[in-house]
Amino acid sequence: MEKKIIEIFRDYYSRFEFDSQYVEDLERREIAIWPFNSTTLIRHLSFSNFKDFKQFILKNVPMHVYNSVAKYQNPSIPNMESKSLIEAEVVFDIDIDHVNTSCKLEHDIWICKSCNKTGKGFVAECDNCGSLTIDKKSFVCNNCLDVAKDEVLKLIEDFLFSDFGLSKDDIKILFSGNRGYHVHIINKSFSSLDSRARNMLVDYVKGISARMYLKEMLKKKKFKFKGINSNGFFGRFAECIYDKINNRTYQDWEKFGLSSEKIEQIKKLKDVFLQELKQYDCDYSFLNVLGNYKERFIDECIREISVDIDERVTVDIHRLIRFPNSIHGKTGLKVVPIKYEDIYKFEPFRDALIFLKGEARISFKVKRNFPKIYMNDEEFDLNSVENKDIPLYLALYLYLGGYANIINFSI
Amino acid sequence: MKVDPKLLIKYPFLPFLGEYLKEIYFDFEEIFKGNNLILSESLERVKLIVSGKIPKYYDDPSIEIPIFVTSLYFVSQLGTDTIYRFADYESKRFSKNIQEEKLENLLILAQHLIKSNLEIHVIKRGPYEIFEIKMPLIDYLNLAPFLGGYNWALAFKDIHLGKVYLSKSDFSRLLEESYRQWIILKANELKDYYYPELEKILIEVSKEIEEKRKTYKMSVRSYEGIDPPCMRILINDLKSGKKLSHMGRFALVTYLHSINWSVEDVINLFKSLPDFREDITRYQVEHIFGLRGGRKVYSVPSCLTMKAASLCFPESPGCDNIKHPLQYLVRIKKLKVKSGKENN
Repeated sequence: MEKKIIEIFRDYYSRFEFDSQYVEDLERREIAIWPFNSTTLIRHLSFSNFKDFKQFILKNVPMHVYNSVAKYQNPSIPNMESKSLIEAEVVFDIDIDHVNTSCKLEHDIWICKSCNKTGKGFVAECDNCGSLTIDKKSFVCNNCLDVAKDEVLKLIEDFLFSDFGLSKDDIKILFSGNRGYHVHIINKSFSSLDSRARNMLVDYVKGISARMYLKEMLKKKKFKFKGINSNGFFGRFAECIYDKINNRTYQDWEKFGLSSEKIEQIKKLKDVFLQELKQYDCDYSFLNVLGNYKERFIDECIREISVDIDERVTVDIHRLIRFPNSIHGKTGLKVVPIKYEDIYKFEPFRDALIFLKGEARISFKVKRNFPKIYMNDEEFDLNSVENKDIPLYLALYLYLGGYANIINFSI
Repeated sequence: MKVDPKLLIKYPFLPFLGEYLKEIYFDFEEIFKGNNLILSESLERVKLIVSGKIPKYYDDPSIEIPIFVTSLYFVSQLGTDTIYRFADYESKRFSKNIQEEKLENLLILAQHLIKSNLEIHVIKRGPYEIFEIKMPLIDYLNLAPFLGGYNWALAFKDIHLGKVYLSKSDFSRLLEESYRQWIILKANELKDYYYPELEKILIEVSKEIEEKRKTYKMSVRSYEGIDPPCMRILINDLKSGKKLSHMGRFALVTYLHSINWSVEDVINLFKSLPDFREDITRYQVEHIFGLRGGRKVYSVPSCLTMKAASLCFPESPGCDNIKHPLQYLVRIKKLKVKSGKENN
C-alpha cells in the first residue's frame, strides 16, 4: 500500500515546480523530511537551489517536508549554535485542535490516560481527575476549518494590521494542510526579534496578561480600565462588552445563566453602562450586576477578542514549519500559500485538494460516527462510503489520517 | 553650532563623542603606555563598580570622557559578567540624569539611542492635555521584555498601527534600558581590540575581580540536570550576570526552594547579580521560604503566570500539556525512562 502512496506523492512532486516565491533564500534554510515508514525526522539538510531540492524530494519522496523559519549562515550544521542564525520569521500557528468548536461534540472523542474516563467534545483537561494527558481522537470537519479561518482573520485584521501596522505585503498565509493555518510575518524588522520579544507578542495575541490582570483586579474590587476610545487590546475588550450589552436579548442573557431580576436590571441600566464604556478610563463596576457570572462574562469577551495560537511555534526561532505546496502526509492535502485578498473565498477541502483524478475503496479501521464532509463542493456521508468507489482525495484523507484502510485503487 | 562637551558626561552616546575624542587627541595607546590619571582612574572605576561601590565622576569633560571610554574598554576585556555590571550601574546613573529633562530633550536623546522616529502625541482629557510618546512597536519589543512585570505587557499599552503610546515615565524607563543595551553593544564592539602592553594589568585586575567573585560564585547545580527551560534560562542569565526582573527572581527562588536548595545556597547564587544586596536578598529569600512574616511558603508560579511575565520558553515534549514548571521534571523523567526502555 505504502509503495502505491509513495508513487502518488512522487507523481505530484514531479509535476510541481518549487520556486523562491514561497520560500525565500532556500540556501539559508534548514530543510527536514519525515520519510514514510520512519519514526524520526531527517534534519539539517540544505540545498543551494530548487533543482537539487526537487531531485532530492523525488528520490526520497517524504511523507512530510519542512523548512526552518530561520535563515542560517550554515543551515546544514547539526549544532544549533554553529548554524549561526541570521534572522527568523515570526510565525503564528492556528490549530483548530486548540479551539473549542461546537462541532467537536459530534466528532471528537477523548480518553483520559490517567483515570480512563472517556467523553465527547473538546477538553483541555480531564473533567474527572484534572489530568492533562489525554488521548484525543479528533476529526476535522468543514466547520472546524471555517472557525480556524475566522481566527486567522481576527489575527490578521485586529492584531497584525490594526495594532502592529503591517500590510498584506508583510505577511504570508498558508493553509497547513490539516487543522489550521500558519501566518508568517515576513517584514524584516520583525525577523530580528528574539524569543523574549516573541513571547511578548504571544502574550498579547492570546490575552494572557490581560486575563490574569482583570481577574486579579476583580478580586481586589478595582474596576478602572480603559474604555472603547483606547487603542489595542483593551479598546477591543470594551467594544466587545459594549456589543454584548447592547445586542443581547432577554433570551441570550437567560441562556447565559442570569436570573430575570438581573436581566431586568441590565435592561434598565443599559444606557448608563454603554455611556460609561465610551470613556477613555472606564469604570467597569457595572459588571457587578452580573454577580457570580462576572468572571465568566469577562472570560468570554477575552476569548472572543484574542487568538488561540500555539505559543511554541511563535517563540521558537529554530522552528521547522511545513514547506509551501508540499503534501501533508496525514491528510494528502496541499500546504497552500494564500494571498490575503483570497482568504475569504479559500475553501481548504476544495482548494487544497491535490489528487482529483482516480478513485479508491476503503474500509474503516474502527466504527465511529463521522460528520458529513464537503469536499470539492460535494457532500459525503462518511458513514456510508465503505466498500464503494470514492474519490482518491477522500480515500487518502481517511487512510492517511488513520481512520481507514484502502482496499484497492482505480487510478 | 558648538555643542557643550559637558553633555557627553551625562550622555556619552551622543554623536559628537567621536569628534570630541579627536579634539582632545584621545589615544588608547598613549593612555596605555603607563602611569597617568586616566589609566589609574579608569581601573579604579571598574573595580569599584564590580564590587558594588560608587566611583568618582569628574566635571571636566577632558578628564571624564577619556576615563569613561577607557573604563568601557577595560570592561570589554573582563568578560560578560563585568560588562553587565558596568552597564547596569551606568544605566542607573543615566536614569538619575534624565529625571529632570524635559520631554523634548528626552526625545532628542531617544533619537540617538533608539534611532527611530518618535513623536509626541497630545490627548485631551477634559480640561487637561496629556502628552504621550509614540514609539515604534519594534523598538518597544526590543526593550520592554528586559524590564519584566505585568505592566509592560502590550495589552496594557495603547497600541495602534505599529506605534505604542507611552507616558513620560514609561518612556524614561525604556530609555534607561536602551542606554544599558548601548553600553553592552559598545563594550562588545571593543572586545576585539588588543593592546599587548595591557596584558599584565588586565591579568591583575582579572584576578582581583575573580577573587571578589569567588566569595559569591558557586557551581550552579540543577535538579538532576533537567531544569524546566524557564528556570534554566533564569539560571543562565544569573550565571552571566544579567539582571533579572522581580518576577524572574521570585520564580527562581520558589523553584530552588522546591528542589531543596538552602537559603544560604540561594543567597550565594544571587551574589552574582549586579545590584546584589545581601540584607535585602536574605530578607526576601527567607520570606519566600516561609521563614519570615506570615510564614507562608510561596509555591512556584504556574506556567500561565510565567507566560504573563514573558518568562516562559516552552520546549517540546517536556512542556507539552503542562500547567506548572514542576510538571516538566516529572514529564522529562518519564520520557527518559521510556526512551531508556526503548533503547534496550
